[in-house]
Amino acid sequence: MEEQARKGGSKFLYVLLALGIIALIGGGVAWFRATGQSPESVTTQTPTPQPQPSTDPKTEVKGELATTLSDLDTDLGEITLDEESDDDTVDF
Amino acid sequence: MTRLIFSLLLIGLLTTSPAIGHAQDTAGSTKEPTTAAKSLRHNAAEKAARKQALEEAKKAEKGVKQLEKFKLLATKMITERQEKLTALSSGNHTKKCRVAAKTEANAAISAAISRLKTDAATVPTLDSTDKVKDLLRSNVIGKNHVYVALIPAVRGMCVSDLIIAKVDSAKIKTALTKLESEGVDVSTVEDNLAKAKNSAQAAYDAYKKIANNPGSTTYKADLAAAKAQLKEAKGFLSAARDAIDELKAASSTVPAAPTEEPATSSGPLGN
Repeated sequence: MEEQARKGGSKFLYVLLALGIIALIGGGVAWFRATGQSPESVTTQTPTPQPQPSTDPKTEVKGELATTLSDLDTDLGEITLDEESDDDTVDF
Repeated sequence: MTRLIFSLLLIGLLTTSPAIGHAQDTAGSTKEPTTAAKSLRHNAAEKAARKQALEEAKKAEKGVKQLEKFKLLATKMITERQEKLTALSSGNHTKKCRVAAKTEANAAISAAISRLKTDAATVPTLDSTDKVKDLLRSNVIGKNHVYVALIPAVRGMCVSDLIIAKVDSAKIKTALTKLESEGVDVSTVEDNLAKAKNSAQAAYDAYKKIANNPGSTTYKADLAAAKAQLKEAKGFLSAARDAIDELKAASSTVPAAPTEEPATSSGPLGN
């Protein structure tokens, strides 16, 4: 009788423990959703130092010029193709 | 106990999986849309349709039927040009232009659309196939050269304006000022950027002239001259980039001079 009561008591404890853990998990997920963060992003934020964006003025100027030159190359190519187009030619 | 742990793991997985999915969705939505301007030249299907319409007009029974077919062809050619020009003035095709340049480009495009509108109104009044052919040859194509002059001219205007904007940008100016304040000689870079800007301005003016008068008999030579200016600007921009590269190489190989050394000191062999 006493043993049965003890078994019943420990089952009750397990259930309480399970409910507690579920409540913790559920609460955690709800909190992440409410704050718009994913659990993954939080765990990766901790100790690893993030690389800082380069502030070297030479690198900045070079980057700007490289992008412009690339755009210019694309446009020069397109201009040439437009000029060579036969879309304005009609043979009656 | 094992069942309990298993159940807890299962519940945990079920409750966290939507959060993972949500995180993946968020990451996916940060992708930038493709903004590259699509070419306005005819694709294969458009070329085939144009050829078919022309062949049908040529093969049609001479007289009223052929006149109607040519009128259909004329309407089709006018409409497709108006559509291309509308696309040219909006969206990605003029996105490299700053506001003032875009206004000038759009003015040239609007003028061409107006000319085509007049041509469209003329088509129903024509009473012979020769007159329709003449309208197509001299006006619709001849006065606009939409594909071979106007579209490349507007593109040229915008990319020239982009170069000018970049040279004048606060980002480049601030960076060069910072380098100067650190004692770096940026005169070669500045000189090449100034030359690039001058060439780009010349290219812009040349392309604008073509855009405003695409029917000019000299449009091919004018386009060649404008492109030469643009290539010149490119050369100066490349030279400016090379000069920056040299500055970078110099700063990484030569150790910085000590700043606290007395001005009178001339080293161990000095007096």
